[in-house]
Amino acid sequence: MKPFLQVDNLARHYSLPARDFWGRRERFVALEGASFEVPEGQILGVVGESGSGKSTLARLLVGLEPPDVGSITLGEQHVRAGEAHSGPLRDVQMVFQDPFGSLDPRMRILDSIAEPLDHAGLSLSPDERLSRVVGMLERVGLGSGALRRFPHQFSGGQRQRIAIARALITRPRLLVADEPVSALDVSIAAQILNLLLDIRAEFGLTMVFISHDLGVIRYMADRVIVMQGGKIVEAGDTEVLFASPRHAYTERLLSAMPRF
Amino acid sequence: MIARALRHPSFLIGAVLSLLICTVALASLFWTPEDPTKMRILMRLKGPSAEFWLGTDQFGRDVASILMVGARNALLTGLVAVAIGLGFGLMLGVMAAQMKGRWIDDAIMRALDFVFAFPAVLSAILILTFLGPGLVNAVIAIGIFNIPVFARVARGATLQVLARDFIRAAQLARVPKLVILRRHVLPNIAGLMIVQASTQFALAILAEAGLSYLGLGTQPPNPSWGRMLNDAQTFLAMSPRLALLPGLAIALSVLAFNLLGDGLRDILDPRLEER
Ligand SMILES: Nc1ncnc2c1ncn2[C@@H]1O[C@H](COP(=O)(O)OP(=O)(O)OP(=O)(O)O)[C@@H](O)[C@H]1O
Ligand SMILES: [Mg+2]
Repeated sequence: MKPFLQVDNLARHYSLPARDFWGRRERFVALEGASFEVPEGQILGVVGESGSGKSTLARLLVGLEPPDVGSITLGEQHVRAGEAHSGPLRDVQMVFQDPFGSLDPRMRILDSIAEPLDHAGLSLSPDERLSRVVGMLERVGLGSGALRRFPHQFSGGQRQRIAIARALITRPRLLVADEPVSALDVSIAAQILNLLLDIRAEFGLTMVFISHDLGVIRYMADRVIVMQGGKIVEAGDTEVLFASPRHAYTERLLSAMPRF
Repeated sequence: MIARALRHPSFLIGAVLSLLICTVALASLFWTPEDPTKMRILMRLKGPSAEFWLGTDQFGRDVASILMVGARNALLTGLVAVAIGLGFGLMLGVMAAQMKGRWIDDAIMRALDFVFAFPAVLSAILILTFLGPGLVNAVIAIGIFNIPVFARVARGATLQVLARDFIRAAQLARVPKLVILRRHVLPNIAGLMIVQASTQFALAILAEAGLSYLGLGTQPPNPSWGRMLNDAQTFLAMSPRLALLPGLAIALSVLAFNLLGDGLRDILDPRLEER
């Protein structure tokens, strides 16, 4: 089967503000040589410690930043390093880590969720717009009472549901979730994870799910890639990888994981 | 929001005082107790009476009427100076933030630093010696020195907003750059800008009074609080009232607009709305 998402030799460097003796800016390699594939409808887990390049990978996948090297193929779309950066990709959405930063505090929930719809070139009537937002709100477990309210009137878990509703309102085919539950309490986090699994099944979503929590990754992912220092150090089916890690770093991660 | 405003003491005091000053200034367009420029040699330096509520000055002019017209000039100064500073400063600051890391950001901010590096009043004096004294020139000079202040606040606030994830989300939603500015950036920096505007408004009133005190601002016979202070110096021992009244008017206006700004910042913040 042809993979839905294919990533080849992806790299991203950042130039640091500091300059060396010759006045050149120093480069920092945030991501290097990343290659993997995700079949349609599957969840790829991305795990690694802080600073390992997970969020960088996420930004490249959704097209917020261009790659410096390599290419991304998503369905019929190609992004190649060196080509003009065309901005965010179609059919791709993202859920962010911090539900307090990902919603505009001055925008009503209705307008926040409808924002992707408003700029999708659909020219919906106000009624149609409203009913789609209400439908999606209910799907993520919130009532239409939320529509006229502001983000600060909701808890972290509720906000993350709102952020998920916004991400799904245009029916994307790929959802990149960057640590979507690491800011939440355990019980709330479990609800959000189950919501994402339900939605994956219902919409046939392909997902890249980022976390530094191996327990969460094991629960969510079909396949896993392990990142360290901007490189993918191990990749494999979730159960295989958890049962017999081959890379020393993965082993260390696993042994640091609390057992129940 | 209105209920919240009514329970906010500094907003209330500031709003009432500002409204009072504005009313007085507006009223002076149509009516003053006496003609503020009319001199009465026989009525010089009289204390308050039924005819002259706040007494007369050294030329026998009605102090209450002069104060009223002075309020108009003070408010006009504040309004125009803030409009100049806010208009250009907001534009430059937001533009610099958008272009952060590119030469244009550096160019804008260095140019503004250059303006900012000069002591404002001293430079205003310098400008006025070239342009010639007068209210209009004074207002323009004060307005120009407001630009870097607003630009810095706008740039800092915009950078903070642009760093937040809801901007990434808007980019993913394919919201055009200018729409992101209008719908996400401006509403989120408006509170800060309003507070800064009220502070600068108060400072502009103070600056105009200062320049007029030095004879560089409002020219006679057009009344100004600053010039009233200057005129009163000579008669300080004889009638301290002549210095006290315009001084009080200046202090009250500065206080009023500062309180108003503080209050507005709180009230405009939806996070403070009760759940
Ligand atoms: N815009 C940038 N400029 C310079 N360096 C950056 C930039 N963005 C990321 N980096 C650096 O790249 C490295 C990888 O960052 P990234 O955010 O991808 O890590 P992460 O795995 O998501 O970490 P975390 O678990 O803390 O979110 C970090 O060392 C970070 O400091
Ligand atoms: Mg991250």
